[in-house]
Amino acid sequence: MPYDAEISRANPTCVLFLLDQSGSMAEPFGQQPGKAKKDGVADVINKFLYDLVIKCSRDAGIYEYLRVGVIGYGVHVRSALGGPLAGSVLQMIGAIATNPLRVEQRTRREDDGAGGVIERKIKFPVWVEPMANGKTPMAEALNLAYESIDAFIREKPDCFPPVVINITDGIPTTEPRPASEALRALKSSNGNVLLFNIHVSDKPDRPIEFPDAETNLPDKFAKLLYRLSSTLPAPFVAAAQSEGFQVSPQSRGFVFNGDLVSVARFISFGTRAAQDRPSPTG
Amino acid sequence: MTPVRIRSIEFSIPKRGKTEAENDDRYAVDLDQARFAIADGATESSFSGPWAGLLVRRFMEDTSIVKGSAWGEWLSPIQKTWLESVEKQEIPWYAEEKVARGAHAAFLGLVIRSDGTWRAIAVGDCCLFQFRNKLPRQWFPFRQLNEFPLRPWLLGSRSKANEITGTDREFLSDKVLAPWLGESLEGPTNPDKPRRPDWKYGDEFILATDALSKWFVNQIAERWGTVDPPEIPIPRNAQEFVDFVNELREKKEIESDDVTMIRVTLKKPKEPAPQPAEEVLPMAEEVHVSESTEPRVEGE
Repeated sequence: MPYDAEISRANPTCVLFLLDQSGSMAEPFGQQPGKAKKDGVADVINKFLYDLVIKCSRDAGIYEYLRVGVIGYGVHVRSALGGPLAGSVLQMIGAIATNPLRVEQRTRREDDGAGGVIERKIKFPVWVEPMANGKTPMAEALNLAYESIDAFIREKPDCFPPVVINITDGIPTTEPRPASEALRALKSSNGNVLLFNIHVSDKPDRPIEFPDAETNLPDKFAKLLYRLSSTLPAPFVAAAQSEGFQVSPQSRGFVFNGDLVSVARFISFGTRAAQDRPSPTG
Repeated sequence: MTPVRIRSIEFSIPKRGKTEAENDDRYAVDLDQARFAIADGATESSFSGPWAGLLVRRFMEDTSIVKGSAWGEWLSPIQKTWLESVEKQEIPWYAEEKVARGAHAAFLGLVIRSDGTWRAIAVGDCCLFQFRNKLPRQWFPFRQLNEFPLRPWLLGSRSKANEITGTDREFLSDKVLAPWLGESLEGPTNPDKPRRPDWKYGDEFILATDALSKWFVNQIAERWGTVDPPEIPIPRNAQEFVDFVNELREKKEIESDDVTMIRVTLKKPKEPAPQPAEEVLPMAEEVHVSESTEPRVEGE
């Protein structure tokens, strides 16, 4: 069965984010009119990186299970990570963990186990700042992703297939289809690269998560991103089902106006307790 | 009261690529009281090996949970110990978050009683197998491969992690929740023909963590209904265990994981007086052989 390679320190995989930083991202979210899309997606990326670091954390250290990168696309197409992480696109997860731009204090509301709610202060690192400027060169971002992933697979040919997650408002100014096909055609001995898309829309439509057909998608941009997205491999379908998502073997890695951070939890490094679910931050 | 001579051998080997210190499985044996326990710390939680160790040692002190006492009370002292030990350490932000979520571990405890019965308790995916005349007689809590959950319910080092909410009930199968809810504490029984699990001289018990448990369940399934089925090979000493696990790993017949097993053999006491162990077995660092002749009675 493909997509079953063990992820280990000797055989790490990679997760690469593509982040739309074009001018249209300054407009508000359909779901939250008071919030600009650029702020929302920066939050999503930071939450993703947070979850991945936590996932690789063991005892007091980090297991180097992952290489991680964030490619921003707008005026420039380049790594959106700053400071010591600004060099090559893919960075060791341990370097990500120790080099956020800053660490904010946030308050998390938690059940106190006695019917009440307690507030707990947690540290929330920030790696990516909101940005909205220029056009939407999605094809160029996919091409840069191709270069980075291709080099990674040459180094780790038996890795669990790399996962690329594109977060956009879905109106590319360059044709993304050939570049996305090339990216999805890259493969390790364990399966093809997975390309997932998160569509943050101006429309106030309800979230659609992991659809298996495009018929219910609200516009041509959503339909385009659906077509660019990989079908969920069987282990991801099983993981999504255990997380309570309604998915089928034809479901695609596409989310419209929704939360794709759960995808981080589909990547398995071993046994995780049924009750071990991250609490919402914010 | 049935006198019995108990022999136990314990094996544990870390997942390939991990060091001995990174093995998150733990076991404990008290032959005088005929108590056996294994625990498997979850890979994705932090400080889960020490938590697994606290669980098995707790069972050596107090087995009241096999009789249905409250989990919260049983776990409370070791939850406190776990938190104190991790809070002593200077840890970075990501480790703090993992500590807040707590460690998780699968757990299996077995008590052999001198009245000829046994009791077991399992939470998560460690399994118990009873063999009589080399044939599987009882196995618990999962009887088929498809019953092993992708994400098992495990014992948490934070008390709130062990509360089952309405949402959990919706998503988790009864199989995952039954031991937790105290519905299988008497060991495996056929609902149509209830029977206290019993033991006889010559019986063997295997306590195994999940990767090996799945292999045993699969071996049993393959032999089911066959006439004169071949014996299921069970390692008897350290070298056999290491070779056995390596071979299964090479053939990809078991998942890549830490592997721990306790093999318990119940024998008739020798006459007139108990003798020391009858054979000398090759010892490895993580292998222990022990024997006792007088298990105490577990009180009701």
